[in-house]
Amino acid sequence: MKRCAVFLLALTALLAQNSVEGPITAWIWDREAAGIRPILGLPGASVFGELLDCGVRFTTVATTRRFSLGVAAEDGQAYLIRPFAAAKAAPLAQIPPGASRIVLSPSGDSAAFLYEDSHRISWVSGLPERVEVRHYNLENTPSKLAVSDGGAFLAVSLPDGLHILDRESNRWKLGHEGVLAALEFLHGSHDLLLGDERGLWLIRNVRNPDHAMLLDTPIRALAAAADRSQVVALDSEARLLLFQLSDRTVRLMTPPVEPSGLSRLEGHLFRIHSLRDEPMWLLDLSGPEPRMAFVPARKTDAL
Amino acid sequence: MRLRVAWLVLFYLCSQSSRAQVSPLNFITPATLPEAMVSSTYTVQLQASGGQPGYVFAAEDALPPGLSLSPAGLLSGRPLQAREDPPFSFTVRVTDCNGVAATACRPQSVTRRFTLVVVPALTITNPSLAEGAACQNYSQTMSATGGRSPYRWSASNLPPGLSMSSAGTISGMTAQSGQFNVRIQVEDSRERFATRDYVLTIQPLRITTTSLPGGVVGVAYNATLTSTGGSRLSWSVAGGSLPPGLGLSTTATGAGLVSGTPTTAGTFNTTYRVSDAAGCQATASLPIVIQQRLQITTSSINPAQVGASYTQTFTATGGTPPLAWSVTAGNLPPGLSLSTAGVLSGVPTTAGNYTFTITVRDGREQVDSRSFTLSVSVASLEITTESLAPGAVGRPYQQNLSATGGVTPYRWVALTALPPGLSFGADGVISGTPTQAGSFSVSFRVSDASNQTATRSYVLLVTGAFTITTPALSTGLVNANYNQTISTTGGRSPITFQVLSGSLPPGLSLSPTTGAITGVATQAGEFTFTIRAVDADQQMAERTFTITIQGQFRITTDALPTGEVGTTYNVTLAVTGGRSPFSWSVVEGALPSGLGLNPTTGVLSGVPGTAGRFTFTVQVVDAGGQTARQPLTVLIVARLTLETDALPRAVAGAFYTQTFQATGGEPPYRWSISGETPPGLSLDLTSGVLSGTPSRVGSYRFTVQVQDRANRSASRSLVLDVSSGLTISLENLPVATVGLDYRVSLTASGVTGALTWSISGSLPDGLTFNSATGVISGTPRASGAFPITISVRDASGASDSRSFSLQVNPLVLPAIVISPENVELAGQPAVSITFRAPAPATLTGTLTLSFTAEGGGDNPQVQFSSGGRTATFTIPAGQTQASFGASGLSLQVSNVAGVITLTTRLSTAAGVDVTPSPAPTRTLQIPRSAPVITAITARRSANALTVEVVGYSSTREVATAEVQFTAAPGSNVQGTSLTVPVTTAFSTWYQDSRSREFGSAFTLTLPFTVSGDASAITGVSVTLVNGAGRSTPRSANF
Repeated sequence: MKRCAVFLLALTALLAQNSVEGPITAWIWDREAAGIRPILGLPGASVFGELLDCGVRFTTVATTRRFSLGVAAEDGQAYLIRPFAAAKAAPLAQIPPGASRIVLSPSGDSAAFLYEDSHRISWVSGLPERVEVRHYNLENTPSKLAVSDGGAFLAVSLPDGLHILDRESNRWKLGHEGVLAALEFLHGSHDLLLGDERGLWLIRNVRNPDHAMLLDTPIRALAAAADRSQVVALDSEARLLLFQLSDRTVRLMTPPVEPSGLSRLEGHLFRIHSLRDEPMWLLDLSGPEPRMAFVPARKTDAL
Repeated sequence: MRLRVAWLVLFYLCSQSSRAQVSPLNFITPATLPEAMVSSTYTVQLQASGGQPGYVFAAEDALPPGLSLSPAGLLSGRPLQAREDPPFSFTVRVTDCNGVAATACRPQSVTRRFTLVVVPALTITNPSLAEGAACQNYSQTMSATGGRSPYRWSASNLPPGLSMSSAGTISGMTAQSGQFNVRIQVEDSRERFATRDYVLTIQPLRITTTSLPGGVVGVAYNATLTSTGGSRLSWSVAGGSLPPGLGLSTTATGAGLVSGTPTTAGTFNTTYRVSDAAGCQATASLPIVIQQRLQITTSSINPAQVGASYTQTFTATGGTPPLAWSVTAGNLPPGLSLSTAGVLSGVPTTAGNYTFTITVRDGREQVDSRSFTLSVSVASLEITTESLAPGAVGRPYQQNLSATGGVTPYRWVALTALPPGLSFGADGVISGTPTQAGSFSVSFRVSDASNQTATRSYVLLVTGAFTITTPALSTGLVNANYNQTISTTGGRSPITFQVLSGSLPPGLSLSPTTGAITGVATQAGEFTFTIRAVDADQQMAERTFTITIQGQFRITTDALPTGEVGTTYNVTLAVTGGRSPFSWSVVEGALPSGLGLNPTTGVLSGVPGTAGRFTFTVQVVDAGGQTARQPLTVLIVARLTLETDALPRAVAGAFYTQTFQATGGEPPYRWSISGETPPGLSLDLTSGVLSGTPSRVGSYRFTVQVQDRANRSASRSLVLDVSSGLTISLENLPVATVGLDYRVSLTASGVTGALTWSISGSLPDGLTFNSATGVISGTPRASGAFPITISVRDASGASDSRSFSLQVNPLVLPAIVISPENVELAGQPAVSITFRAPAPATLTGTLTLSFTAEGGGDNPQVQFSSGGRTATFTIPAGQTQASFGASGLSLQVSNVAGVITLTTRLSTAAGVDVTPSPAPTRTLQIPRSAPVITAITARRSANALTVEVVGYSSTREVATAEVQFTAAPGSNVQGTSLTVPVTTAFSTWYQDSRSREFGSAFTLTLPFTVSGDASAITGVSVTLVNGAGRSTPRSANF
């Protein structure tokens, strides 16, 4: 180790600059209200906050804790939504209007706007500050779409199989047969998680793929933790499977509601979708033990 | 036996020629035949020669008895008779030609006279063989008769060592003993034998000594052992051992000698052996008892006293009983003697020291002697009289003093003056007639012949004149034992008593010898009489007494009348005998509740409160302390009550019966009715049954009375409705329950045509009455008893009315349990409502929660999972678990300290509130706790560090943040630990209304500036502190 010269460090707490705020667990897309609202508090002690008033109603939104991407209901314009910015919703002119679906990368620094009627994808990277957009035309609308962090790869599930696109517009097909039920890149990597009627798969490095079957059970949905340690999957029997990538162990959990889907909200926090969604159930893997927590249904007489 | 058979072989040469010259026939057997012996087989073949072949022999006169002659010339048989001189003689003829004349043969015959000597039978004459002894010379000579001597003897099976000479002598020496079966044979000169069997007995060598004498330790011992048989004997010990000090030897005469001086006492079993030089041996076990030496063990004797009985027993050890004791030297003290048993006894008469020798002799003449000296002394002189008998004035007195010890004669002297009238002699006698009463101290001295003296003092009491001292006699009771004794003083026994005048109470008597008045008085009253006492000197004393005999004191009340609950009870307990005032009490058991016993009057009174049978014991004490008790039992019956309070209606023309009911009192009951009863009905006065067929419609009011056997009565006024026939069928309306549907369809019997119903009175709120259908229906909303009258009329105009009381009961719900029963901070427990028993009806309910923070205010995060603070549920009838819908219900506790209250309200399906009062509630306490850090992130720039801490603090305050930075190895960092006061920052946050939506959660951002290379800081750990404690530290790396 390089020996440093002896120096004095003074650490001064900027007392006047200490700040305390309330933690926001996540932002969620309120389809009915056509906007986003926060989950205020911590998992297990939280409530839905007020709808973010950004002056725009959206037809679809993809959220992260820091920002969200939405498509305006009025004109189909793509927006960058930053709740704590002065202009909470800033249009993304580089992205053509009319996108029908938005898919974010695991860290949120990249996204794909999918135009189902034109089989076109607008691939965005450098979010939220340095937005770069590439556009791709596909022969079909992908049934499933995944974006890797850093904007390196797109994974699209087309009728003839699973295809990978890179930034250089190269495209190749991964040798994976079957109808995909779920598709997601691992956080900060080029590894791709697949879920289909046969099981859960991990493809290491989509450029030089290495197939591995992780679970031999039909998978309906999947999501991965931000630190790439765990994968949460929903199987055909509506069971939640917590898969540890390190030791390949699986833990079964029975959700409190009949799940219809699964998505990652932030880090180790996942949302268990159900047809009723009242209350909203979360799966929190941040603690020593996985925990199901609900966010009380939103009612006008709540407070 | 060897038989000697004389053979006479006669060779007959038969000529083979047919026509030889015939020689003259002749006997060739000599005329003297061989000698025969009586009883011995004799055979001689007579021979002839010449003549023609075919000799035939025949005896012409008698042969010797026992012999016969065959035609062939064989003379044989066993002679029976001896004849020697002269011998037997008999003629025998022999004829040739077989005795038959024939052409070729002309018989010849010739005779010869033979002589035959028959000697007596050879016989051994010894009847037996002499007995011999082992290892001793034996000789026995045999003898025989008959036959012809000389004889030659032999024997077989003789004992080894013995032999038989040919001359007939058995001799020799054998070492064997026993019985031998010997066969003796004798042979005469003609080689004839005779044998005889004998038993030869040879006695063994035997020790004849059967016992040896005993010995004495230390005394020379000598005993001889003898034996029979054998020679050159030697003695030895074959078994056991001789007594120590003794030895065994053989004398010159062959006897055994045990000799020596024994050194040890005991019994010694020794087996002795005597051996003969020839090897014969004999043994015998003979014990020798060695006794200890006879020795006197008494070493000293007790001294004796003149005139005192003396006994001394002498003892000795050893020796052979019997022991005999004697005095062999010196003299015993006069008055003492020694028995042969060794007992020295008697009464010494002369003092002195006496030396004498005692000798003991045992049965074996052992003796031992010892000298003793017996000291005989004179006993101390002592006055033995313990006290002087009291005297009495005017009564002759005599008292003899006595003494022991010393040497008589005694001489007495009075050392003090005697009471006046008394004198004292030298013989020790106090005598005279006292003339003065008093207590006199006197002393006396006695002296003996040996000049010993002894003195003693006494108090001589002289009493006054003879009087009766008993002042009065006590009171007695009739039928009670009485015992009083008349006492006297001054008299001399014996004293006699008598009733001089008057009479004792009947039943009592006076003992003339003891003065005791005893018996059982049979009559009460006062009895006066005079007692006279007379002493041995005929002195008289008289006194008049009165004995009062009282009657027996007892409680005469032995039974109590029956009482009735609620009715005043009053009984006075009575006594007989005794003296007032009396004191009453209950000493056992308890009175019925409500009753008391007056302690002065004995009145038992009060108002009984409880029925039952009560047993107790009363006690009364009179003024004289006499006590009487009486167990009593009182029966308290329940109040007589006529229970029947209503009569079912009757129908005119239909048989009716109703039995009145009564309780309490004392059955049997008697019934009666007053007032107007429906015609056709009558009352059974004993059974209380009202029955019959009413003939007239109407409402009849009358009074029914019941009376018990104690004439207690109860009555009640009743109404009996007699209807026309149209009768409302329902006797009673079913009970309704608040909140539950209720429906009753009224019906009537005896109907003609359509019915019209009507109702008077108020139905419970929620119920309605349909006059067309007679249906009461609805859902009552309030509980209570609602009196109504329902009337009905049919097409014929007949009507009936009936009064009812519609009872509406509150809906009783089982206990309700609201869960959870306790909560944890930031928990989301499931909520349940459970009935402890199945719900009586389908119920709906609301569960409402409220929250009060510890520091006041609210926490909007505290909600149900369904959103808000109100949740509805249902619970089907018969179920115990409330349902909050398919999703269930959970409670978000959040993270602020305070109290959550859950309250339930319940309604029936009809919407009637049936919430119990108070409403079921659950209170959940969220405790104060230290802060909890849920996440920490650390960001580093060139010279700044930012630490972001996410967590919650249930107290809604945080005081400090303790920050510990971790430096890279090798770096020199100062001030890595900081305690940052954050009270203000948190206070600002928690006071902001926006913070309420977050519960107590927060994101704390701590910026730090770094002087120097911030990269030297690699990590940070944060601990938050609030008023309830410190958080668990959380760390992060930059």
